[in-house]
Amino acid sequence: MHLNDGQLRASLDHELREQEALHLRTCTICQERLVEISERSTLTSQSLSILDPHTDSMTASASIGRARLNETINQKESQNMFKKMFSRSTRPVWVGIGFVALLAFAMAFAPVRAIANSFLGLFRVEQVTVVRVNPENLPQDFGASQNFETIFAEDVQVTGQGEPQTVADVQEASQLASIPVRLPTEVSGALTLAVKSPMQMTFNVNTTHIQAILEELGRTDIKIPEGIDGATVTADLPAIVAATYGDCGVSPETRPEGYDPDDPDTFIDTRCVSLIQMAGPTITAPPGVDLQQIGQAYLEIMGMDTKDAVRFSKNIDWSTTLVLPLPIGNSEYSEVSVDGVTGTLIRVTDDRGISSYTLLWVANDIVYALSGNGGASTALAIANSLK
Amino acid sequence: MAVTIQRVADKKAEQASGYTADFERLFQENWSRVNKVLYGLLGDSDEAQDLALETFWRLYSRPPKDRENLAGWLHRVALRLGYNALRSNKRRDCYELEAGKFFLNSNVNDPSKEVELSEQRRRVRFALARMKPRSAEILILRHSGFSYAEIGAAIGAPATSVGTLLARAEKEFEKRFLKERD
Repeated sequence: MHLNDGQLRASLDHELREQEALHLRTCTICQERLVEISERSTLTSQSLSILDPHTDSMTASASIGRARLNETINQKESQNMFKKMFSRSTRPVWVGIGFVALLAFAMAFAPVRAIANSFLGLFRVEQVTVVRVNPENLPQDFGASQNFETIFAEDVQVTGQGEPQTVADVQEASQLASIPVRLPTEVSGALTLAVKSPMQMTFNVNTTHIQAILEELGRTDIKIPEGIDGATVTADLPAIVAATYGDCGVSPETRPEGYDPDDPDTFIDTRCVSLIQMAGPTITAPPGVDLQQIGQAYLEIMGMDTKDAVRFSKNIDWSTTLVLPLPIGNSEYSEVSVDGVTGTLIRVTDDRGISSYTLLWVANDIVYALSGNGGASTALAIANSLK
Repeated sequence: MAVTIQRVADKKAEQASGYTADFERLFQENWSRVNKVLYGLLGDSDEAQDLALETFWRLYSRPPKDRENLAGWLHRVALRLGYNALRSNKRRDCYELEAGKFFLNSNVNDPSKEVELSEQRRRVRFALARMKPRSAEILILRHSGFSYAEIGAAIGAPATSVGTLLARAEKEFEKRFLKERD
């Protein structure tokens, strides 16, 4: 049996096993083929040799490199704005901050999150599904990627960002948001009603940038689906109506000392009830993209192992489902009947032992998210009292 | 090479000490090599150094779970970064053009030879940039003196298959290089 190309190539580097080397010494056919392989190898080697630095001065010395690395380390460790957002806190940051913040996160992390978050194809939220993720499985310093900044600077354009506008009543809110705004009757506390204008995000998919992030996250095993490079994904986020009852501590006038919207530990204030409602966001992208594959990548990025991600991804309609990652820990979720449809109730008990809920459902093409203190009965009583 | 990178629990202490001894050793052993590989790939010393720094930053901040063959891991990260930069190709032709002008206007013995060399480098990089990333990585790792076992560990393949991968990569390089040359 003659040697294959790989074995012949290995012989040039003296990496051939003795038995094979013996065969090569006596086999004229193999020797003839070796000549061709050797010539190709020489061409490659000579070609690569001309890329070698001509002098040592073309590369920085180790001492200079080390000094610069120290600078880099100090700089990166101090300036990373994304670290806070994805701290490894067991506190489920997704829950309690409401649907708006969730979508804002999703928008903000377009390269890894939004692509997979059912955002390709023609997407309109019809249902919400929760997927449990283990924060410990997330890549270390997830979100601490400087490459995110590159993507924001080069690939993402957001228009329509603005402060919510306080409105006087339901009629005004309905008019501004172009949806029939409903409010609960079974809730206490002073009502504040605000409308945030529609927002549009355009994301020009650059797989090189995304790959760089995955590498930075140490997840080179996650494959970016082919065919999405250069695609333009447009996400239209309709106007959002936020009704808050009690003091949520997030308006500029009532923000508590130390409040930082980027810090989940100060962002959550459970002294109020908030209800978010909006028409489903619409995402458009060129057809022919494998949503299931993207969904799988998304789940893997969120810390799910490949086997589970494949199984989960197959069983979900990614074109109509908003998939919320919910960290494993002090939270639980269940499907509930609410407002005539099936909703998702997420319950959390924080470090202080305070229970809170977020109830998500989609009814008549309107996405609702209700958050507040208490348990399932409290949440359902409020949700079912919408008028 | 089995190396343990011990992270100090106290961040401040970690920053003050810079790196642990293991990290320091790894840096000293590989800085120059990583730099040379990146310079060869990119032909720009500033960019090569920036990417070398990025490579070691990744080792510092997010070392791989598998601590065997960290040198291979470093080179693979560096190569991937360099390769992405090479493929982006935004400034590459500029460098080569500038290099050509530099040699023409400088006091080197034979400027025309330098210009020709510069053009050859451009062709090689062009060919590499159009190869499959893994194939280009294998070629450069081998050219940088890595053994088959080290290459295998770096790319996650058995050492026994490196010969085959290398033969395939050289075939691909030859095809693209000759096409570019012609």
